[in-house]
Parts: sequence; structure tokens; C-alpha cells
Amino acid sequence: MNIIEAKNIKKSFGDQEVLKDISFKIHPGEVVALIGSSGSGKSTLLRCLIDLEKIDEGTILMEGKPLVRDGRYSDKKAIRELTSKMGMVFQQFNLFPNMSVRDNLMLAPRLVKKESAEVLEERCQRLLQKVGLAPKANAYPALLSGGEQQRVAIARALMMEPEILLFDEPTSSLDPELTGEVLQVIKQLADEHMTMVLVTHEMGFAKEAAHRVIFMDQGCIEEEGTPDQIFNHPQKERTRLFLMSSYK
Amino acid sequence: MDLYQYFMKVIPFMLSGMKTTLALGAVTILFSLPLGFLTTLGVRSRFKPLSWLLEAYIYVMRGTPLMLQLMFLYYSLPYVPVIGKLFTMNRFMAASVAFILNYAAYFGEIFRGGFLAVPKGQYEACQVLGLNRWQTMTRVIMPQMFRVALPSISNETITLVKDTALAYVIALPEIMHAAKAAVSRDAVPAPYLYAAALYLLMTFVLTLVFKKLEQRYRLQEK
Repeated sequence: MNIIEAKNIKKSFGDQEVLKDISFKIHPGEVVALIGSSGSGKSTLLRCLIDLEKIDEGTILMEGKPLVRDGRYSDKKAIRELTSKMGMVFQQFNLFPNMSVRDNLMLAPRLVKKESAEVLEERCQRLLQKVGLAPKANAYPALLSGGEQQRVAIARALMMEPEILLFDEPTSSLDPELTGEVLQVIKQLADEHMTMVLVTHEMGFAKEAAHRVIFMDQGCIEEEGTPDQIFNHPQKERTRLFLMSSYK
Repeated sequence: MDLYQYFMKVIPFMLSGMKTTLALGAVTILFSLPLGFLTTLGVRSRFKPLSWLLEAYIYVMRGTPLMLQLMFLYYSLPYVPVIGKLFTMNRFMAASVAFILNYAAYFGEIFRGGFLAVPKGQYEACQVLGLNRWQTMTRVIMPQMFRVALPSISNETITLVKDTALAYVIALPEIMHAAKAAVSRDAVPAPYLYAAALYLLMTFVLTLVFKKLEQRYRLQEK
């Protein structure tokens, strides 16, 4: 079954149409890169999947269950249950500045999943190890570099054991020398068959890590295919133009 | 009578004035902080009539002199037909109500600024992690809001200590009242200086306390 299936999504901000009839599917274990120029609607699309934005028309199914069907949203409880299977990593990290790294990781699972302290402590250790930040468990976010903050944010999302992780331009606010460490963590997750959707400007990374690339332009999916198809043999003129300008 | 003797003679009188000043200040802080917080929540409420009503309240409280509000509550409210009798208060009660209402409006505005300083991303992070509204507010937003608001709260509290002198106009026996009485009775300048020293002492202690609080909340971040 598809983890996510979106059918004929439409969304406007005021009289500006940002998503025009978008349909796609995400399969389990798949890594999908959403690329396109700023304003093409890719971030908005991602935010709609996890209910940070509401769509106007269309259907979003999560493991076959409707988050919204034909523009009508399910009740709050159902939405919570569906979005709780998704994790999200933001461009601006959005760590809680008033908490240590450990508390950032522990807060939500403790309050929401109500798991035992030992289980959470163990998972917290393991995930910090995984993102290479075990020694920083007691540090506060303000003392970490951008790359470290983003890796904490990824660990925090993983604490909830999501079935799919959404990344909204995870490296766009990082200094160039710090993007590598974050991309490496994402690559590692891909190797472990984590299902992921990435909005990214890192073409090299999309080429290397994604199974499928979706190119968006002006609120539409212009072209999609394997990285080889999109990057080496783009069919559409717009895709070619975008790729040329982003390699400059 | 030398200066020392005079000081010893007047100071008990002044200290009892300070007790009233402190009591008024404490009651005001105790009630106006939570009330101010509720005011902010109300202003931010999606229920528009409540929001408008509270904005009007803030506008009136900030737009008229505190002295007028004091005099109105103590001197003219009892003359209002029908309800006037219900609102006849003693001096301390009237002063407390006036100060609490006035300061709640100011604290409300301070908290509002604090809320505005918390980035939208913090709410979004809470939402995608599955926190409910209450958890989001109490665990994530309020601690950050409070840290931003603290310097302004400190400033406002020091202003409050000095503002209590306005209760002089309804003859509440606070520091200024005691000083004025001593100056008139004894025809000496010293009592006003003693009053100044007492105000400075109180604001000094408050400054220290708030510095410590701010340090503690800053330390949490580093």
C-alpha cells in the first residue's frame, strides 16, 4: 500500500493559486526529492501533507485512510492519529531554545506517547549516537552550530518513530560547510529504508540519495522520474531550464 | 532636637507608611500579573467580542491617568445610582482595585509583546510532534514568552512601587502621606528625604531580585 497518496490537490493563498491539481504517491521505503524554483509550491505541498496548511480541494490518504477526502477534512482525532505517523524537519530547525538537547528529544514522546522513562532514555541515547551528538545531550540549542541543531531536529522527529519523515529544505539555512553532516544523516536514514520526502535545493544530493525526483513548476508537477531520467534526460523544456540555472 | 533624635521620632511613622506601600504593591503584583496574562489570552482569543472588550479595557486603562482612576473609584463611584452602594470601598480596597486594574492592562500588553516574540516555527514544531494546545502553551511557548517579557515586567514593577505614591490623593496612609504629614506638622524638610530613601531601598531590592531572575532564565539557554 502507498504510505501517502495525494489526488487532485488544489490550494490558493487569497487569489494566488499555489497548488494546481497535484497528484502523486509515496511508496514505503521510498526517498522522494521535491525540486523546483522558489515559489513553485513544493514547501506548501509538503506542509499540506502534515496538516500545517489546509488544502482547498482534493484528497490526501495516509496508508489508505483519509486526512482529507474531496476537500473535506476528517475529524480532529483522525487527523491527529494520521499526522502522528509523520515527522517533520524544518528549514529553521525549530528546536525549543528553553530546553536541553535531551529535553527537546524527550518532551513529545513523554507527553504524547506516554512511554516509560527507560525506553525513552534508551532511544534518546541511541538516536543522539546515530546523529553523532551523544556528547551534546545536556547542551542548549543556542550553543550548537546550525548543522548540529538540524541533526538534533532530525533525532527529535525520529523519537516519535514516524513512518515517514518530511524535510522542508533541511540545509537551506546552513553554511555550506555544514550541509554535509546533515545530508550524511539523511543518507544514512535512506540506507535504512526510512520513507522520506525532501524539499531540497541540493541537486547533487537529490541525484545521489533519492529514488524518485518530482520537479514542480508554478504549482504543478511538471515532470517526475528517477534521478537519472530527471537529471540526465529531462523531457520538458522547463525542467531543462531549471536544472541549467541551478547548476550555475 | 538634633537630627538623629528627629529621625528616630519620625521613622516609626514613616515605616508604618511603608508597610501600607508594600502591601499595596504586593497585592497589585499578586493579582495584576495573572490578570494581565488572562487579558492577553482574551485579546488573542478567536471569540471577537471578548477580544474587543479587552482591547477597550486596555485602551481606557492606558489612556487615562491612574490618579483619575483612583479618585473615580474612591470618591465618585459611591455616587453612581443603584450600584454605587455596592462599590463603596475603604481606602486600601479602592487603591488595590485601581492599581490591579491599571497594572493588569499594562502587564497584558507586556505579555502580548512576549507572545509576539515567539516564532511561529515553535508552534509548528509542537503541532507536528503531536503536542496539544495546553502542552504547547505551558511547556514551550510560555517559558519563552516569559523570558522575553521579564525585563519589561521588572521595569513595570519598579514603576509600580513609585506609583503607589499616587494613593496619596485618596489619603491612603502610605509613605508619602506620612512624609507630608510630618513636614506640615514639624515644619522641617527631612521627612521627604527619608521617604526618598525608603523608595530607593525598595527599588534597590527589586532591581536585585529581577537581575537574579533574568540571570537564571538566561543561564537556561547557555
